[in-house]
Amino acid sequence: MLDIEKLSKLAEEWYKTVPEDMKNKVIVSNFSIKPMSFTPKQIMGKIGSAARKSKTREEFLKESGLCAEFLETLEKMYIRRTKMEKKEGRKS
Amino acid sequence: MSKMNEGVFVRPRWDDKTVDQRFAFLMDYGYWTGAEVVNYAHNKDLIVHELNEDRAIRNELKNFLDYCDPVFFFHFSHGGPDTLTGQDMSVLICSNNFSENGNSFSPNDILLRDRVVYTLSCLSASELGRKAVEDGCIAYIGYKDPLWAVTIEGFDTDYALFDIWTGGAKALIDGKTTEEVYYWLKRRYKFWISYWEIIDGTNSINAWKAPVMIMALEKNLKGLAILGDLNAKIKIDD
Repeated sequence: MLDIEKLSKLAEEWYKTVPEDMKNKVIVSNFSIKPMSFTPKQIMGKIGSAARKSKTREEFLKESGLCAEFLETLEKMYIRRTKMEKKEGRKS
Repeated sequence: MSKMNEGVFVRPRWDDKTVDQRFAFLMDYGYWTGAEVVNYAHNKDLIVHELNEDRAIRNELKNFLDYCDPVFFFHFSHGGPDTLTGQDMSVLICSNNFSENGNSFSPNDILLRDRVVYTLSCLSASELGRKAVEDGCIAYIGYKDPLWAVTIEGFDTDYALFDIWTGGAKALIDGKTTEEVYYWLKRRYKFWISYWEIIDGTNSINAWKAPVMIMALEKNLKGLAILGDLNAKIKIDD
């Protein structure tokens, strides 16, 4: 499991790849009675603020609220990519 | 006994949450999805009744169901654990007593008795669906967690969810059982997750969308629920 610094870095790297014209657009939303929606900029804002307030990974994820699931997805994808790269490395 | 080969399509639409992409508001995505299902139902000779926008309210629904008695109940709107909403986030169906703006609502999930429900809304399978099935709803396909929409415009982003959500309803209209529909939905979510896993980590200009799509697809897949009769159908076999 990755620490706060590494998770934040993954999020920052992701944000750099988001096209400029999409950074302030709603990209994800839900159909609850109090609907939540996020732009990439809002996701990063929430993650940045959570990182400043937290000392442990658990605190960080809790503070990130719904963005925690986004961080966990980034983490899972990172681990998957790393495993695949290792596998490819062994083959070549 | 409700009427087979007949469906009511409850499709509210109002200016709920600004999206400003393919559509202006989030509810427009629901309306778009519902319209596709309604067109399909017409083409497949299902008897279609629509309660759209201002007609998608509690009293209208009760009056309509007292008069018509379709087996299929399609709904796309916001929801909560014990609530399906109608126009302007009004309480359409609830399984608990409810007070809002000085109005009180008693449980009316009994309206779903003898029906097969396909709802695209948050959370309602967790409580309302369960209670409805206890009260005689034949089967309930919905979500026990929040239902997420990705609003990035594209054939493999917002349209991928449209594809899944309409596909499940179309399968019911085609005469599949509720269990077949449930597993079709699961396979379709998994297909799109695999699709985005392939794009992730590549230098595709779309790679930034992958974590957003995978998060939404995985959350929706996890929240998908089927309650009640697994062999239920809305069509009589030819």
